[in-house]
Amino acid sequence: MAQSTNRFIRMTGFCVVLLSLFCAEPVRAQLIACSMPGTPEEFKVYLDDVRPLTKTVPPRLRARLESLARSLQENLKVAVNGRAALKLCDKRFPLDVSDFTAQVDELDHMRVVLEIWGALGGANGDEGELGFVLVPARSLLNPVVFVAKDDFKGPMLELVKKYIELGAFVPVVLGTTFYQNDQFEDAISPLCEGETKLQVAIAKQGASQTPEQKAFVQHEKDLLVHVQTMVNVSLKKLKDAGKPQYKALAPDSGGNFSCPK
Amino acid sequence: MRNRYLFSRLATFLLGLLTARPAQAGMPHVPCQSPFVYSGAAVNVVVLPYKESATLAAGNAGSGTRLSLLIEMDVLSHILEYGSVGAIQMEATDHYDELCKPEIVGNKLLAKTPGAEAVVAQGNGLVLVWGLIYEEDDDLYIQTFASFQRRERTEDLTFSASNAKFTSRPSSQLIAFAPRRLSKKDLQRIDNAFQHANIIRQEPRDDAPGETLRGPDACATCTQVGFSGFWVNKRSGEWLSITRMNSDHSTKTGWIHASAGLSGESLDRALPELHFIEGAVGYLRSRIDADARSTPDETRARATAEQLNAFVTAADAEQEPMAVAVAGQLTGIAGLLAKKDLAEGLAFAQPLFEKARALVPYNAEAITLATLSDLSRASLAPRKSTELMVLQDPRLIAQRLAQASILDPANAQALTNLRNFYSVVLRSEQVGPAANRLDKLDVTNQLKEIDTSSLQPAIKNMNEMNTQQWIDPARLKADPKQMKLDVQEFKKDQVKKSH
Repeated sequence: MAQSTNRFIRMTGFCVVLLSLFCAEPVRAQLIACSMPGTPEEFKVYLDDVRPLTKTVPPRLRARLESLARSLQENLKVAVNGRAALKLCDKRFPLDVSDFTAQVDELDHMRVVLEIWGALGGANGDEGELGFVLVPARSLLNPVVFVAKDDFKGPMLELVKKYIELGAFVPVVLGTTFYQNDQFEDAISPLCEGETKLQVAIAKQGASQTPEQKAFVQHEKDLLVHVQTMVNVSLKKLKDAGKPQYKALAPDSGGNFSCPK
Repeated sequence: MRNRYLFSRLATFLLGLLTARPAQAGMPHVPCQSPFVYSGAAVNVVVLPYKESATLAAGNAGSGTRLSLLIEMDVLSHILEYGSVGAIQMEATDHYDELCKPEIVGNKLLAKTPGAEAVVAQGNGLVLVWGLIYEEDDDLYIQTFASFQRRERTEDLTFSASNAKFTSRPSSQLIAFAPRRLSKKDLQRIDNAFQHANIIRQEPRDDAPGETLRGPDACATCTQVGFSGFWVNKRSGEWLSITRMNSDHSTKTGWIHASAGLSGESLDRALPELHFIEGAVGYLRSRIDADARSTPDETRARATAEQLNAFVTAADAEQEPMAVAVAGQLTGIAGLLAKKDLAEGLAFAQPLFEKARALVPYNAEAITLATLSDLSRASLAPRKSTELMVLQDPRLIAQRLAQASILDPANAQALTNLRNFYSVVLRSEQVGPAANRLDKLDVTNQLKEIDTSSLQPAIKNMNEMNTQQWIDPARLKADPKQMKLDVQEFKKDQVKKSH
């Protein structure tokens, strides 16, 4: 276990940047099913275990991790706000990000739009990771797994704020799901909310970033471009369909549509 | 007359306490499973225990309960001037996670599910507060969540322009505030200051015998569970009559000198969201007054504005944009209702609504409030000889109302707003650059198309989900039978009354 978890820590940084094809191990244990499966109809956000991976994690940082997991849970409840159901998946945890490569279709089939897990490990037990599987984005982005890395020894308040900001992914994945189901009318609102929140999150990134953090921000920027494209396409299709409220919209000078500013 | 009314409400309340829940007789501690509000109070603030998100070391436990007690006290001390308010602190049991969730407690208090000791009366307000607390060394990290609403009432407001009606509401009624840091020393200092400053006296005199407002229930790290609450009975000059309810259901009524530094050292500086909560009480109070066709007190509206402005000034607009936006909207609505003149009220509210829109441009209600208040204001402008309303840049207004409808496709009212605006265009004089005007034939066709269009939202049955999750009340579909406040009609009533 310890060996595989150390491997997880070492490898995820690369997996953020590169497609997990390059990183995937040939044999993987399957993720266990979520302990709160929910109904087939509802959209779901899975919150997996947020756990320390090594014995080197000091008690102080374990408590931080536990606190951040609680904080994430409470803020996700507000972020989903009736649009999806938050499912706490006890003991579900990936041994490797590539676990999701095999599962992403199944997650999509179960209407899981977002899956989140967290880990703390490294030689000093201070390397924190928060992973996100943006299930519906699998046709847009490669990889669909985002991993945010943080030094857990840093200021606690900043860590909490950063974790909360990652809730921006909730409207993005909901909007993407609607878009992919050709439910363009329902896609616009969450996509526009996600666009604003992603822009704020990207703008707040500090100048002094590690390569992993830079990769994460680039991934967010790529996602933002996709969100803007989906908004443009959705609004064009709806305007072409002739619904009256869309007729009032005017494109910009380039003929594109965007979210209200 | 009012005192007699209050006395009778108090007597009813006390009688209720004596007769309620005989099965609980002899059970001094009532946990979250039987929540309680002062049914006679116009607005109740219920503070759930702050959940300790992790415990670093033994002996650190208890700050969550202590903090929620202090928040209850702090909020109470700042909402006294609204009158007819109650503040209740729920305490945790071992089964916190299940019993003290906002969806469990809130739905009981709003009579959506059984189990409350006393429920919020129809039309009255509830502000539910909960949060997380994490202790590390000498610091506390706190995040607060709050939800405000009136029982079986919508927060919808109806605006008018050229005989057409339009509807909007605040953008959200469930707020996640930014996390804050507070030192344990600060918390202790505030606690001490409260105990010294807040004395409940037997008579409305500074030399009358008294005891600390918190009384025997001060319970920071004790293992007791139960609830304690306060209700403002009446005001007499600088003195306020308060009833304190203890966790053993005993009550104590006495007087507090409101001008004698009641709040002591305030928690608000460290937790500016308390200003928001206090302001939300003021907002709800003004809506309750308006529903009763009574002009909200302008002093109270000023207090509401001051509290919400204090929040906006201290808040982190990047981290909590919705909270800042809603604070502006509540300030605007409370001011709009309190000002005698509609034009004056709209002139006050509109810039606040516009600021809110800029903060959350993706929110349909933020767009609608800003646009409709502007339109309603324009409709009051002096008419030219044609007697037609003058519309500046109507195409831009139509675009905004269309955006609002697009961002909230399941909301029939949003599309109706656009439809009604087109009807106004047909009987208005358009001004502004030609590109910003609308062709009346196109407008007529648009009207026909809207009248024949239908809504097919993908996300349904949110009201049913509300017993399993605490969903933002602003996102719930309002019962069409519920009263909507028509701002123009309300103002006309006030003018008539004043004559």
